[in-house]
Amino acid sequence: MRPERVFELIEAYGADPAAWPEDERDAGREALAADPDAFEAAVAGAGALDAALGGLEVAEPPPGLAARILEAAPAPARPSFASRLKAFVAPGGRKWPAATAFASTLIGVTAGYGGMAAAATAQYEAEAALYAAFDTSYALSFDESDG
Amino acid sequence: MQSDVAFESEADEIARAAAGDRAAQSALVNRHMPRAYAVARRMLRSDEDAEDVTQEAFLRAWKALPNWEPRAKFSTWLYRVTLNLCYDRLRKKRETLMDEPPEREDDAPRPEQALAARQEKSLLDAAIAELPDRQKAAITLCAIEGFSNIEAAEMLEASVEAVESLLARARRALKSKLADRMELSR
Repeated sequence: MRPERVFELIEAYGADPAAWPEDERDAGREALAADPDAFEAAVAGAGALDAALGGLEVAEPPPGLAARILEAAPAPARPSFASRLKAFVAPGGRKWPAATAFASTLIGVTAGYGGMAAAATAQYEAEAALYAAFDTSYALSFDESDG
Repeated sequence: MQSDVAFESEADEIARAAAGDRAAQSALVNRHMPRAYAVARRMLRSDEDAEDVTQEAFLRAWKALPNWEPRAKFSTWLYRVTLNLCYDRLRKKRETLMDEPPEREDDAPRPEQALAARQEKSLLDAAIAELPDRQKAAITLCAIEGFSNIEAAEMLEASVEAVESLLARARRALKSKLADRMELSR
């Protein structure tokens, strides 16, 4: 880096290369280190101003300013009936619990009815067989007494 | 009012803030408001004006969020708006002062006398306040708030070279004004 450029950087950004443009920082540091005497006066003058600027008090925002700013921030949009229904049926985009509970109930009722019907049929068939047996024995005994 | 909510990106944070997510809005305010206020306070030297300008800048941000350009950086946009609002106020104040001639001009303290009555920090504060607006903004952003030359250029809507020139002129002016009192070498 040319010495003229180092002076320009000191004049604009101050004595500390950390405050210089990032793409010129390393080359600037090397130039400063290579000939410190050449830049001594410029660095001292800029450094004093840097220190003064760095010592300035930074104004703190007044209490309540953040809250007043947030009062004016956009409010959430009111959800539509469809989106509220969807949120009830599938909260958080999940398919349960409401949808799953409904499906489980439907399956349970269907299976329960089917089971009851099957049990009733089996009981009816068993009773019919028993009655048939009675009828047969009665018929046989009748036949024997006749014989 | 710290927020622990993490966002995937600034674009995600802005989209949520635009949709009314209070955590996203708080995060934006907590991160940028104190610095925006400090810049406005430095530019305007008035608590009340700085507060008004900061509120107005965020009000414009809230209105702009629904149509936010994803490539735009929120901080750059906010500080640019803050600075432009400051320029407007400073211009109006100057116009008001020019419209109202001083009643007792002869008795008014000269700037040098006023400066002599202040402490060192106040001297520097006053010297910065006397800089032209753009120089004041450049020195505030880079030397006090620590923004890079590229960030400052975006906020000032100027080239990096122009920012460097503003900074050099501002520092020369400050050193010249304060050299006698603050032992700054010229």
